[in-house]
Amino acid sequence: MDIGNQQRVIIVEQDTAIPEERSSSTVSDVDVDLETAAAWPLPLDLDPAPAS
Amino acid sequence: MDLAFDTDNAQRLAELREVVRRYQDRYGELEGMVDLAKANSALASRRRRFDHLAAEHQRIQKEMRSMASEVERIERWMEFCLEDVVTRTREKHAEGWSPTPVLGYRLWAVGAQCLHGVKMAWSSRKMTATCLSRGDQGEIPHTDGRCGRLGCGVYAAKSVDPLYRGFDVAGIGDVALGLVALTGKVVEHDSGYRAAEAEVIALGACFGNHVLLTADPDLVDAVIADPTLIKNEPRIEVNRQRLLEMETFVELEARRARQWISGTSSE
Repeated sequence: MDIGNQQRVIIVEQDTAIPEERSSSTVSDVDVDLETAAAWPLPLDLDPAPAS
Repeated sequence: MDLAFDTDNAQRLAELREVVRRYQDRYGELEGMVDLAKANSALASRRRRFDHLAAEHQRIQKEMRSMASEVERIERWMEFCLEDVVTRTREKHAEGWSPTPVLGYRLWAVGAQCLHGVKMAWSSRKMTATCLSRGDQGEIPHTDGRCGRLGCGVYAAKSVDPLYRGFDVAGIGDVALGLVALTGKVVEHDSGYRAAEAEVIALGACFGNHVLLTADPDLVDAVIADPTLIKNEPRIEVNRQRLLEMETFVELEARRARQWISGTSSE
């Protein structure tokens, strides 16, 4: 029997706590959220550490 | 490691130097002064080297503290980036999560030895999927197309009718129709599901015109292990009637299961 095209994945986890509500925030949202941005002290120097 | 010179020793040396100085004043040139001068020179050069290393040690410790702080900040940033990727992926693929099983319907051919699905014989009411074409690599059922358009997993239909029509049950003869609870990774398709785990929670099975209808887990297990038990049940002579009885029973059990699930989740 052909059950048709794949639509989506559902993860069924019985006997587990309901996970935290999935946030819809993205990286770009952080820029306008001052409180959140303060938690991540940007800008970061992501270059490799200089050789000593 | 905290290194420091022995102050008692330094005090003792200072006292001895003062004695030597007094003796120089008193007696002029003394014997053994050449060795003392060599020792003085060696000591001074070691002290200079020690001071240099101590300064270097301090600089390295400061840089290590700075690096540790940067690592901590970058790790927090990375955690956010990882969560962001997870969130975006879930949204893009409309991934669902459920604390309750997804319900579906399955058919088996009934033989004297076992209930046989399209690919495999079942030995109990529970079945765990394996990928027959690609092995158990990665998360099963596969959803990246590596094992074909439909792919691996325990299959179930969203409704009974397509099963009856799709498999020509009137021609097969002895069949079993089951309501299955699907758990783990469940892949929804247009008209059915593929799941990692399935458990038969209600079964309608006919064997030689006898029909068994049960939602008792122990009896379901017993019948799957020994389908001849079905012959202890009443006979229904008309094939169409047998199929209808089984369909009505499993659909009623599905309705009851959904009511129970919705009742539980509203508590």
